[in-house]
Amino acid sequence: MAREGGIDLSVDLAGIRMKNPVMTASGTFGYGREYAELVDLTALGAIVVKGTSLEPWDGNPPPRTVETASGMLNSVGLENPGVEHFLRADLPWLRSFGTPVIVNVVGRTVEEYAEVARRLDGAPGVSGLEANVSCPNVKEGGLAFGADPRAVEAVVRAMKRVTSLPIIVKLTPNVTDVTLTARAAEAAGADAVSLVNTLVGMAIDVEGCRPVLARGVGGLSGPAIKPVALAMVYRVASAVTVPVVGMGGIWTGTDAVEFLMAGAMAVAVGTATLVDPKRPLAVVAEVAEFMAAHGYSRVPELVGRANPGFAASERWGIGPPTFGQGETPGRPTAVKRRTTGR
Amino acid sequence: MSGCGGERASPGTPLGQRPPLLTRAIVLDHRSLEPDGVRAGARDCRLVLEAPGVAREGRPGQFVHVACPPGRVPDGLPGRPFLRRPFSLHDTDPRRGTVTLLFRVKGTGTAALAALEPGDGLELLGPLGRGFPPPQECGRAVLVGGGLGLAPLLLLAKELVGRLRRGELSGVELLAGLTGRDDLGLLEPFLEQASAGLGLTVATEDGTPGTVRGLVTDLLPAVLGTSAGSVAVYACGPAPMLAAVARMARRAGVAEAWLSVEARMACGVGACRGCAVPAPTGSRPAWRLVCREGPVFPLDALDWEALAKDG
Repeated sequence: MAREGGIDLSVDLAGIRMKNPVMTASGTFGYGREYAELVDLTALGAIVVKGTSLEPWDGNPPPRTVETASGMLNSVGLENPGVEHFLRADLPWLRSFGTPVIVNVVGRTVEEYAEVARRLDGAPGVSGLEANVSCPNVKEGGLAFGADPRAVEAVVRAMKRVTSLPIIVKLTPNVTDVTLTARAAEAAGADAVSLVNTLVGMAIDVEGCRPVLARGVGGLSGPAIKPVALAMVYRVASAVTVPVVGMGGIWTGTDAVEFLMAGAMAVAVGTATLVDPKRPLAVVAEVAEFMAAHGYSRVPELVGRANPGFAASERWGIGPPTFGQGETPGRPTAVKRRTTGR
Repeated sequence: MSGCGGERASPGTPLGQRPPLLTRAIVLDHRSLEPDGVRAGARDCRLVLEAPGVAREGRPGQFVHVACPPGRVPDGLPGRPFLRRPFSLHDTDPRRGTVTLLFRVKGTGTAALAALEPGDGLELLGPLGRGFPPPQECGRAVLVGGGLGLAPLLLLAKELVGRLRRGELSGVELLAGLTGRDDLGLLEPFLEQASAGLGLTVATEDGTPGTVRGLVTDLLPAVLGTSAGSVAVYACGPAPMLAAVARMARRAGVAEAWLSVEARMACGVGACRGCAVPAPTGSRPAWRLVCREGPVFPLDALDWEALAKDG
């Protein structure tokens, strides 16, 4: 049990035992190797690797990234060496760290998603799959699936048929009502949902009179999108009963706590890592500090705490939050009112 | 392998073998290259940092990824600079523990750096990437630098002049290309190397007195001459210049050529795959990463013409 000063940071995400609720966001951590010299991989809650397809994908032409205010646009296009390369070259090394590995799965067709899932099923060291039906930077797969609840269902059902691994469905914010795709994922048997992927955005080079990114549009990430992401997590957390992984612009422990209080069981740090590789583990430490300072002893006590539509105590089978010494006067009462008042 | 490069790594393997450092550097000195030395509105700046780890481990051609602090930028844009900015190692002094960066103020990141004062802190990630390997043959080294592309060539020139003086090379020449007299400040740190044996020829587009009028690549064929088979070419500059150098190096049949590339970059360590540049037609993957596989690439690693067209 991962305890830091009496704080138990561990969470169980759809059967994936994580020592803390902080994972890496797919596409921002490569296959782990890129940051192994800079980040203690054993200290992460889980490692979510880059979007992985059946065959190698080349990705999009450059320019692929551009900075924006408090964020960045990317149009990488899911460049990756393919699932067989991952199984052969990266997974044996990655699993040696003992941290749960979650593979982000991409495909051009429902069949491709399923085939990648089939090949990863039973691979030693893979703890779960994240179905990426939300990348804005590819023509097929990606958004074409993620914006259509029926397509989301088809992808999830096809993957569930070929693997017993937990499936997390990564949702796009580029829809009018994110709860529709979230519910579709749940109805098809998703074990969890994660959100948000990037928001479609653009930057224009005014000297060259053309979009900066070669493909025109890209996906916006970073602190600029955090309020949008948080609102969507808040809505989805009370629309589905499967656990939610919250992400989008998380930089600090307080950001992470916001997502937890909105109803996320775990969080992912993404773009922050690209700027400051210390961020994922700093977020772990800062969440622990927050919990210690506010009298929380277990992460589920935080989950949904700011979301009246979300009843953590019923959902996770834990009793009403209990507070040890050093509790904040008045806080337990407020929580009781919220959890019992619905 | 003739062994002149000593314990050189095989082409394409990282020369900086140590893990990159996340380190807090301190600004020691900050100078504008303009003659009056006034920093406000400065175009080119030289920043001397105390960063002993980078100074010790950094190899010519490697870079540091710099978190540019927005705090001091007058009328700065909110939320920017956001991403780190890559800068090649212009100079290092392992004994004093200093690293020098050379940059032109072009955007929010460089404006933030230009506003730094001695004593300010600055977070560096590095040294990163693959640098310039020493020559394999015992012949000549020819360096080609265009504008700010001269920045990584100083550290390389120092190392190669050292080899020259030890008799490991028969000649080291730098061909420097500048727009005009406003850029002459970029040459200053090379003068010391010139007095130590570095051959220096300067081309300017405006024909500044003491220089050859034209493009730096106009000078290259004659310098490669008839003995190109024992020449190692090193280049850094705008993509069209690199493409011209690549063409000429191929035509002349040089022993080897190493070209340093610039690209938009986010992570600097290969995770985001943002800094892709075109590999030769038919290669898989179709792109190579400047941060991890570069910034210095051998002649056959990239499609230099496509790079020039995209740039």
